[in-house]
Amino acid sequence: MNFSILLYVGLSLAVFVALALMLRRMRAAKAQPPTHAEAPHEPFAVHCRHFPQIRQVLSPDDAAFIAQRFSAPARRQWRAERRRVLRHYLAGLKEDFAGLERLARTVAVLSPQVTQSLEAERLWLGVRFRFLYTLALLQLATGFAGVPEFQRLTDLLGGFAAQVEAGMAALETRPAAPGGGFSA
Amino acid sequence: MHLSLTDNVAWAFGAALETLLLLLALRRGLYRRFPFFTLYVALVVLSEPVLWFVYNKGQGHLRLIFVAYYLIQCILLLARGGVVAEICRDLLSPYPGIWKVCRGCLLTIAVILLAFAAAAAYRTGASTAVATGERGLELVVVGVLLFAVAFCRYYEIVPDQVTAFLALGLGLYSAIQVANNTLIFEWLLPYVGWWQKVRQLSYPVVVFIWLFALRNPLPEARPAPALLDAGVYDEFVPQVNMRLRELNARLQEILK
Repeated sequence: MNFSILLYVGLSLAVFVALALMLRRMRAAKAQPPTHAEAPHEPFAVHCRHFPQIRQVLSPDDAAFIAQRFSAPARRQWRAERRRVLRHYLAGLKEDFAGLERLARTVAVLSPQVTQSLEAERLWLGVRFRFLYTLALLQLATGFAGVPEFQRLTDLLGGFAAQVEAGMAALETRPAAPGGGFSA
Repeated sequence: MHLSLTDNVAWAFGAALETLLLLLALRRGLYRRFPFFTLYVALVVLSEPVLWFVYNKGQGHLRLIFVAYYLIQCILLLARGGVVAEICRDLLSPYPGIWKVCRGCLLTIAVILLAFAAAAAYRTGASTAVATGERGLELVVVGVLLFAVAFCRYYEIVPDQVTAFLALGLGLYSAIQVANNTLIFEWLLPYVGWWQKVRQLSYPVVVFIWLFALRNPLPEARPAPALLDAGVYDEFVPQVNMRLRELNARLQEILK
């Protein structure tokens, strides 16, 4: 099949989908006023704060205890349950990432001047994070990711959350530019 | 070339719809916010009797019909280009920071697609060069609109209803033209008459979409968003990016 046919037909389909999405979004926004002028809800990393519980789930002591006391089907069920919890945790981390990313986008939208390279980099980082996240999910489904790695990831998000909270506090106390501030 | 009664009725119906759209656009004061769109609709309305006259009176002068048709298409395409720019500006210019960045990207995309269109028209034979060029130009319209919508989605900018419907109509029409000009030469030559009908019908559908957009008075212009202090971005965003980079690195470590 000719490449140009694929390109043209693909682009035609893409424009339909994109414009339909735009309309759907517009309708949704009509029902719920745009939040752009407001600070985003829960922009801070919240899921990573539950790492102590996750650490417990991942504890090797638990694994040893289960291996001694329970039958093979029960162990399988326990492992499946543990994977489910980790999947949820990973999804939470993704939410944290998305919240922080969204905050940065909001700042960009409301800024009189933005830097192209920083915007492009954040876009790329978002794409990369989602790709890696999908791979991590696959790894969870097939094997197992260890506690230290999860802990490092969580510490990072936790530190970031503190930094963003401090940044937001600084924004709130900053004297506003003419017509400045998050609220329109 | 002889137009049948059905063709004439369809033509008159299309022309009446377009005239109605122009009148409604003028009544709603659309020219204040979308001057290029209003001009485009006016050009479409003006082109209809010219084309009808050429088709009816130019029997046996296929070259004249060909030149008249493509000359008018060329003018309308230029006007559509102006409308696309206008829609992009309406969507993104209230946010001066990102508008500056997106404008550059959209211009680059337009230039790349234009070069692609020129190259495609040059490569094909003389008999299909004009249609290939037209397809390429329609593709510029589709591509730029698509990226403008993608930027809006990425930055969570919600367009108002009028802009969204204008973009939808324009994108739909150009997408149909692109598909039409592509498929017709590859697969549908035996069904050219049928496909021509699809092409002719697509425009009244688009006009209906635009009439729907203008069914109510235009909404009040949105107040310009309150902007942050210029230093906030420079202070905050580089730190966010740095952290996101680290986060990616950690996630990659998990995968090792």
